Amino acid sequence: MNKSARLEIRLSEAHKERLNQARRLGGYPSLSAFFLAAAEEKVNKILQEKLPMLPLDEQSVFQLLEMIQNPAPANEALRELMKTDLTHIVEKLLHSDKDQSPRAPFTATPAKKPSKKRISLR
Amino acid sequence: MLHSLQPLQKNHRRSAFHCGNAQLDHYLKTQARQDQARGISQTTVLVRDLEVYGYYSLSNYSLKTDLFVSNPTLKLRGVQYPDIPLHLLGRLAVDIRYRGTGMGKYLLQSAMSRAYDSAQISASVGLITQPIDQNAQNFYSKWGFQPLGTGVLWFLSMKSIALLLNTSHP
Repeated sequence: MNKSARLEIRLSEAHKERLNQARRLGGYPSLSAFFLAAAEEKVNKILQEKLPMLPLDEQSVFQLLEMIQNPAPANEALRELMKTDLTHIVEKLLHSDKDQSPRAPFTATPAKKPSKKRISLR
Repeated sequence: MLHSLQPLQKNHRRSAFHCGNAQLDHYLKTQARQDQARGISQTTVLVRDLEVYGYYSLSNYSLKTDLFVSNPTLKLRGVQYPDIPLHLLGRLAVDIRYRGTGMGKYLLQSAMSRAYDSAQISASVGLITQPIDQNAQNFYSKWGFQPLGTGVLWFLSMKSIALLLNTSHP
């Protein structure tokens, strides 16, 4: 069940009257409704700006939807890429590196067994 | 021993990895295993004799549209959900000695085909990536990734990948 929360704000009479005037002109039934609507706008704006990894504005969302609904056919480079087996090329590259590698030769070290320390609770 | 693409493991040697971008080097050496252990992102490394020559990381990701779903135009376009599921190609890097040799292509090919496989089980509309610099942008743009909005994120639809993999993948 959603428990409702309460919010009280202290402000001057004059300020309250000014807010009420705007509330009436804007057609909001109550100051609460007015506050919530106004805050929601602000919340959306801030979240949109500050949420990490959400750099998309409304236009970009439209753009993304367009790309999803009508995906561009793969370009020639991608077509070619997905047809090519690069395994041998990579192997050759790394193999020739190994012959001339300035790095220290690899020496096998057995993987460490996970330690099995026990913590006594006594 | 032949090279292979493997999930990053503790005994993979990363200390000599140098791709020319400090952030990407740092990620591989210090962060990637933690992210993997926490289920944040999965890193695949190109290794030979346990030496790492390149890597990429993939995660499930979603773009939030709930700030916009009240927009009637979006509703008209069938957006009913607050999130769009995607694959995030978080990072992709190749040791600087192999820049321009095709190793980056090899990693991208693998990332795309694995994202595609994964999307057959858990849906995704495409791959999204955040190119770290102009070189990276050029790289992704070459394969048909397109910038979204201000160009922070670049996108390639899963359908574009699917068409290729269904018809031509070995």
